[in-house]
Amino acid sequence: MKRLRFYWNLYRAFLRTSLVREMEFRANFWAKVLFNLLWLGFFLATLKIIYRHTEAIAGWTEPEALVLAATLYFLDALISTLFYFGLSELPTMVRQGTLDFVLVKPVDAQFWLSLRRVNLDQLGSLVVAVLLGVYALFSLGYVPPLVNGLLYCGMVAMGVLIFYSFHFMMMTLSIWLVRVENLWVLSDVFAQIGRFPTDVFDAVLRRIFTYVLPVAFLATIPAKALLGKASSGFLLFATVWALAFFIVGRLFWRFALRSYTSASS
Amino acid sequence: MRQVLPKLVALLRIYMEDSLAYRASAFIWMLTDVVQCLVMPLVWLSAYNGREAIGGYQPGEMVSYYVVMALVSNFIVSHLMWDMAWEIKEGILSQWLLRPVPILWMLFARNISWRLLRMVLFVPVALLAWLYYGQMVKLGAVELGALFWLSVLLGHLVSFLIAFALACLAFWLQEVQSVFSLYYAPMLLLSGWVAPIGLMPDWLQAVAFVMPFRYTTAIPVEVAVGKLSGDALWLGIAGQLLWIGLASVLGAVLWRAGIRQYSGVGM
Repeated sequence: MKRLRFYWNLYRAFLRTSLVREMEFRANFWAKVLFNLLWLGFFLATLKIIYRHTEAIAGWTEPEALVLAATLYFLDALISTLFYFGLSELPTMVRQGTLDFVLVKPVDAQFWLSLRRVNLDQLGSLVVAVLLGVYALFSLGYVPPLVNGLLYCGMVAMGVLIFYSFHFMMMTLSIWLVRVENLWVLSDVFAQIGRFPTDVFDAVLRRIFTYVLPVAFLATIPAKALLGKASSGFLLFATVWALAFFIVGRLFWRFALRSYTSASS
Repeated sequence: MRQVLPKLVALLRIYMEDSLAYRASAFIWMLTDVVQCLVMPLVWLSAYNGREAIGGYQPGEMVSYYVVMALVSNFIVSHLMWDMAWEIKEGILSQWLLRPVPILWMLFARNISWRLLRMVLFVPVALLAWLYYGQMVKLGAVELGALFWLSVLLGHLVSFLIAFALACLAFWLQEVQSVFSLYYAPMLLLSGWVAPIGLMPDWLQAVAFVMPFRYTTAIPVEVAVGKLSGDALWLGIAGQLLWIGLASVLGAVLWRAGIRQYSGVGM
């Protein structure tokens, strides 16, 4: 319990320093929002081009695909806010040897590496994602029942945890692959596959993208849950998978540290 | 000419070795470039819903379009502005200015080494795609004739020269990286990477027609899948030549003006 309080206080300190940082670069905030809007527009344009020619992609109508897009955008903003940028510095730390300073701190290294940077400039994107989702549901003429909403929130949280664990494992690879400076791109590729409903894949690929590389849990399954097309059992399934991924990620990190030789000393 | 060739060969060898040293990074970059091109056919195939063709593309042609696009864009699309901007900022450019070879050759040799390596690294991925899509891609339907290769080479030059002109902005702009990032959204859309330009609304097609991006990858890919032929094909190649000319002039002007006010940090 004392330990928990300690980490909570630590996280509050992270939040405080991140906020101070943010206040220093206020112009950046709007630049980020604009930039993210551009990419959202780019993706919506892609969807629009396809839906000019068809009424459904693997059973997804255009407003349903918008729910999917909003989910992915929301997930992306959440990931960028919570841990993405802090964690992505790990390979640089390995290369420069500054990881040593983290390892000697009296806190869990994974906690420190993952959560010390809260990117508040992504909050604007979170709002945009919610607005897009509301618009999509409105054009569907569908008000999801409360249960679906709750299922959805739970699944998005599991999606974040799955992406987190994947990204953490990719970053951990840098302990061996010191010279590969673009490992973060692998996590991007992972998320890119999840941009479209995984229903477009055939049975074999769909299984791979559900069980082995679980991109289906990032946006497709949460969006389906919100639309009432996925059974509630999926939440249990997503939770088990997310926890398994998290544990594997942690074990992998511990294992990798045994090979860490430190660049500086 | 006798002077030129050995220098160029030497440059190519140096940069080939250099890029080979970073083959793991190159493989990862290649993956991010091609993954959408390999997923998009599946998205389209799930959108036919019994139609015979979409915008004149039969399912097999749609698959070929994206597979050829993945292959061709690995060679054509140049990203040299990121490195070059960094070298301008850090003053590394100074070393190059002292060497007895024009800087544009060095950039060209370095860029093309990367592009060739990316093509080679794409081969296993392409084989997998081919196995997967096997029956869909009717190999006979893909025309890889002389005009295709010509437009690939011209497309590479268009992309290379535009990236060079863009990189020159680093002489003036502090936050040039955000300009580069902004460049990618219209570039990916209007170069036909996202979807065949013929499937876009008319106004967007008109925009694509006057912008340079169509003349990088869209022309060769459309030639390969037989969607561009006759007069339209020659017009496309003329457009490529025109953009090579325009981008060269723009690049030369920006380079001359930039180098005059370049102070060489770290000298």
